[in-house]
Parts: sequence; C-alpha cells; structure tokens
Amino acid sequence: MPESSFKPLILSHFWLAFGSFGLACVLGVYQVLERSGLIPLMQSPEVYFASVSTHGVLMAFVLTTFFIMGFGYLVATTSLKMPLAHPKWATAGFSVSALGTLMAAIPLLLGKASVLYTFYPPVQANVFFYLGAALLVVGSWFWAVIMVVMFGLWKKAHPGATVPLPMFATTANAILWLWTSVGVALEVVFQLIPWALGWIDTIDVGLARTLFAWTLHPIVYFWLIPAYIVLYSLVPKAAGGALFSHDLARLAFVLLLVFGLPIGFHHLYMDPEHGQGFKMIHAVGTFFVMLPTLMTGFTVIASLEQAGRKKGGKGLFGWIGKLPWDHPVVLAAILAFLMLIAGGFGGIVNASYGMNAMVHNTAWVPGHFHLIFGGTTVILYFAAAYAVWPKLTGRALIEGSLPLVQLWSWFIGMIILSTPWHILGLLGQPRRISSVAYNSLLTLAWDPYELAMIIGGLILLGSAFLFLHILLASQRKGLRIAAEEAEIHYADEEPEGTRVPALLNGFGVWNLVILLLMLANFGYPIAQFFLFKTFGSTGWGY
Amino acid sequence: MSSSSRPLHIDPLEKKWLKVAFALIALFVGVILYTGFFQHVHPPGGMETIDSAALHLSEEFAEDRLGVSVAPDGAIKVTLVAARYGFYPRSIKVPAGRPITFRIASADVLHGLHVPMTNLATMVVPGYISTVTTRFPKPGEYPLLCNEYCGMGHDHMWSQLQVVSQEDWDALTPSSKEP
Amino acid sequence: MKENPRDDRSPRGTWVLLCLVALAMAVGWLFLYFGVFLPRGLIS
Repeated sequence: MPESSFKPLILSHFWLAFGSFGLACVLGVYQVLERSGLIPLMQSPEVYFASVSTHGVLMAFVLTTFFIMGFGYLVATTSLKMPLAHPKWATAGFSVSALGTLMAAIPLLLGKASVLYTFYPPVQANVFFYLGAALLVVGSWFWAVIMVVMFGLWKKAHPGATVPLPMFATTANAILWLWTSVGVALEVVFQLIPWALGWIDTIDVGLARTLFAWTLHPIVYFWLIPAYIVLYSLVPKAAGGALFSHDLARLAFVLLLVFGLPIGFHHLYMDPEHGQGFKMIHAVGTFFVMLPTLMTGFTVIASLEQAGRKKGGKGLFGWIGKLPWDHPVVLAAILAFLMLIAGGFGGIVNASYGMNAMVHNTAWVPGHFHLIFGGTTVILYFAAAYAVWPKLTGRALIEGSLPLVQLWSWFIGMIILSTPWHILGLLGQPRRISSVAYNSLLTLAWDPYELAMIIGGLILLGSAFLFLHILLASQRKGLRIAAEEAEIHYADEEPEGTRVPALLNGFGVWNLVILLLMLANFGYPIAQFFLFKTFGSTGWGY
Repeated sequence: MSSSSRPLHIDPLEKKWLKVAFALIALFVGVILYTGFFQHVHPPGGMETIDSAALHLSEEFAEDRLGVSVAPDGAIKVTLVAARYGFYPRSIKVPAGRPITFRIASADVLHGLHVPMTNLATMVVPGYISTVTTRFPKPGEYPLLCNEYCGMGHDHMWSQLQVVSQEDWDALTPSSKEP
Repeated sequence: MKENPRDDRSPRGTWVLLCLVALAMAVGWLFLYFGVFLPRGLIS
C-alpha cells in the first residue's frame, strides 16, 4: 500500500485539529475562572467574549472539521484497501481550510469578531471572519467529494459487493456534510459577506437564523458519525469480540443521515419568524432521530456483552467486569456511553417543543453540548487517535497507563463541569454572560455551582495536555513497529460474498428522500421571507 | 448487477429493544401532542413583521403605548421594547395566575427574554414581533433577563417584573396598573 | 460447567440495562415536564 505519501497529510490534519483543541482548552479555563467572579481583576467583557468566540470556533469548527477529514482519509484508504483518490485535491482542500482558519483567527484573537461561534447577525464581525469561515467550509467540500468518489470507485471495482462498514458510514457522513453545509454557506455568501463588505445595507435576520438552523442540527451528526464509526468498527475487536449486527449498523447510519437533516427548527422554537405548525413538525422529526442512537446503544453494548461473555462473564452483568477496561478504545467507549445517556437525555429535553422554554438560552444549553460533544464525541476522537497513531507514525504508543489516566480524567472533569452547568440552567441563569450583574436574590443561588465548575475545567485542561503529550511523545519516542503490527483492526465484515440489502449499500434513493424532506420542512419556511415584505437590519457593533 | 434485496437480519432481543425505543419516542411525542392540542402548550410562534429601525413610528410600540394594558374584557397585555440594554418599560407589575400576553419588539439587535423560574421565554428578533402568553404561578419580585448575546453590555440587560397576588391586583385602581 | 448455548448469542444483559435506561429517561422526562416545566406556568 503506497500510503506513506499521504500519512503526512493525515497527520497534518490531526495536528491542526488537536493543536487548536489544546489552545481552546486554555481559553476554556480562562473563561470559567472569569465567569465565576472569583478574581475581580480578570473581569472584562471584551476579553471574555473574544475568548468565547475563539473557543467556540476552534472547538466546534476547527477541531472537528480537520479531525473528521483526516480520519476520513485514513478510514477510506485502510478499509477499502486502495490509495487516496485525487491526493492533490486533498492537499488543496487542507490548504484552503487552513487558510480560512488563519484568516478567521486573526480578527477573533484581536477582538474584532466577538460574535460567538454562531455569529448571529445583526451584530457584525470583521469581514475576514466571515471570509475565513467560508474558506474553512469550502476546503472541507474537497474532502467530501473525494470520499464519495472513492466510494464509487470501489463499488465499480467490486460489482455487487458490500462496501465495508467504516467506509459506508464515512461516505454517509460526507453526503450529510454536503447537504448540511449548504445552509450556512448560503447565509455567509449571500448575506453576511456582502453585508460586511458594505455591498448591501441590510439583511433579514430571520432568514439568516433559518439558514443557520438548517446547518446547526445536522452538523452535530457530522461530528458524531466518526465517533459512531469508532464504536461500531473499532470497539468490537478491541474488546475481543465481533460486531453484533451489521445490518442495523448500516441502518443506523442511514437514519442519522436522513432524519438528522430536516429538523433544524428545534433550535428556533423560541423564534418569532416561524409558526407553531412547522415547529411541531420539526419536533416530531427530532424525536425520530433518537432511534438510530438508541439502536447504536444496543448494537454496540451487545457487541461488548458478547466479548465479555467470551472471556467468562456470567449472569446478567458479569460480562461488564470481564471487559478489557485497560484498553483505551474500550474504556473510551464505556465512558462515552455513560455521557451519551446523560447528554442524550438533555437533548431530549431540549427537543421537547414547549418545554424548550424552560431551558432555551439558559446555562443548561452549554452544559448539554459540553457533555454530549465535549464528552461523548471528543472522548471517542481521543480513542480514534490512540487507535490509529501507530499506523500513522510507525511507532507504538508510549508505555504505561497514561492513555487510561487521560481518558478517566477527561470523563471526571466533564461530569464535574457539566452537572452544575445544567443545574444553573434550571435555575434560570442566562448563557453568554461574562459576569453576574443582576441585582436579584435569585442569583445568589448560582455561586457554588460556578466554583465547582472551575474544578471541572482545571481537570479537563490537565487531561487535554496529557492527551497532546501522549501523541507527541509517541510520535517522537515510541518504539518503532512493523507495518503489520500497526494495522487498524476493524470489526470483521460478514463473509465474502454476503450481500446486504441494496438500500444499505448505496445512497441514491436516500438522497432523493432527503431532497423531499428538506423541501417539505424548509421549503415554505425559507420561501416566506421572499413572499412577504420583511424588514432587514443594518450592521451593529458590539 | 445490483445486490439482492434480502430482508434485514435482526436479533430477536434487539427487535424487542426497537419496540421499547419506539414506545419511548411515542411517549414523548404523545405527551407533547396532547398538551399541545388540549392545553395549548406551545412555544411562541407566528410570523409578524415590523420595522425595528422605526419602532417609535409604529402604532403598537410607540413609547406611550408600552407597558401593561388591560382590555375591557380583562385580558392583560404587556408591550415591551427590547433594546440595548434593557426591556422597556424597566419595571412592570402583573397579577399571578392569569394568562398574560407579551408583545415584544427589538429596536436594535437580537435579544432573548427569560424570567427565571417561570415560562416567560422568547427570542426577540429585529424585524419580527414576538408574542408569548403565559401565567405566573407565584407572586414575587422577578428579574426579566436577556439571555442572548447582544453586545458588551449584555451582562447588564435586565428589567424588573413584579408579580402581585390576584387580590392585590384587583384592589389596584386602573391608573396605578400602568408603570 | 455447562454453558447455555443461548448465552453466546442473546445479549440479555444489554437488554436489561437499556430497559432500565429507557425507564429512567421516561420517568426523568415526565418529572421535568409535569413537575417542573408545567408548574412554572402554561405557555403558548
């Protein structure tokens, strides 16, 4: 396999992702300290909001996009056992996204793009922020196209054969991303950039929020699917077992793709520019998308149970103790499931239509997404890195139990950080404030939770540094190993010649279903901004 | 040369789990639909536009129309403007236990309105009028907080809501119900 | 000792575990919806 030529490319993606992650963690600790009001000298809305904006962009857009692209290239080449298609496009895509990141980072760090990672208008950022964000997205489209191309090339070379599960899922993710990113791309290209450049005076804020909401829900599945690939394709063998159900695994990815897209209005429940009818439709769709996650829980945990029983686990739960808790990929999966149950529950509450009023824009919301994304998803990104690092570097991970310490500390830190955060939300604390300035007795209850969160943040920072240390030290000083030892052990596919239902081996029909669902759920809600007279907003500073 | 379309292989226990999963989803959707249709539990909604740059020229949001008003049939309406950095008028008084309809418009940027420990919650989007109806179960002094980032003064954007008991409200003369 | 051949294939532990999780979610959600959310005042 002439892969050595694109290992540096994949490593570049991972280092850009994880380096950004490390910087963002430092900002996070600053933020939790500043917010608590413990150190009066630190109080500064200007610095705080610049930090939150940078932290959000790095975590939600940079860590994710680059990790997903790099992991995707790796999964494609190793699971399909073919070389990277169009490597020059892959390099070009990386460069465009990296340039975009740098372009956005400069105004962010200078405090000229303190519009938070959601950049809702009409508060306006420096135009280079929007240009940089656009380039980051455009570069990722190169990746998505390469994934789809490789999927097609392999199917042509193996007529009628079943596409290996990791690549089926990766391609689903690429298709998901192409559909998902259209919303924010339209908002940025046709509204925010011309407006920031002064080419148009006003933009319709309701339309901007609607286009962003198109992207805002499915982007979390874009982030989550690679984590699910770890669960389905890497965890079973790591635990010493096999994948419990291949068919349902494929179906889960298809359901995430199809039902994850047309449901963005649960981010707009409290907004005045849409009616209750469409909000209710999106709510019902949002509850349907619980299904693939509930399926994933069963299939992957059943795979773990079988592995544990093979090792002698008896009775209903004996297998849990027999699992290899000292294998980083298995440990990460167990901790991820614990956080998925809590974080998933929080998501169900958010989705619950009228009940969203209880939590919308309160501290519950960042508590939720730190748990479900920073917890469940990112811990599986750590597992993925540990699993593929030997393949990428030709060296074993450094000796010792450091990866286990790192994973446990990430989990513990995240629980300590996010639990008080959820409670603060139920007590009504708003999100996106840099200090507590309300002269109201209700706010006195908030202090102890804020102090507890500092401890969570500090533990997470230590864990983040440990993660970076493990990767760096392994890359430079790990024991060199032979190529065969470094292979990535995907869960065994079903025997050669086994066929799966055509609907679980391709995406033609599903793309059509998506198109119809998007038209039904977004067609009129977007068209209405053009059918009726609306009043736009000029740019506002902050 | 398409793959044969054989049926899905699903383990019997996983099939049972899928039924449980569907039941869970049906429970949540069912309760939401039920309370939606029979108790009118909904988030705010309904596309109504307004020129946020000219609020003072509008009929509904002109300065002398803001605040609490009581219709002849007793229906209570509160008209507010959200603007950096407060909800105007800054202090309002309403009764507990009665449905109150809030009509809010922004004079500048995006805001969010929330009263902790109650269900008064809505986004305020420039160009659109927000309408939300709720009841306050308990009398007391509540802060009306902005919970969407609106600039460097966002931390300080709040107003006061006083919820009085039904008896106190009825005892108030019409003129003292205005702010 | 004899292994029940069904042990191998039937993930009973997973089934029980996840049923408990589903139950906990149902109870937790109902508590939040009827015990916290609605008592704060009907909204429409």
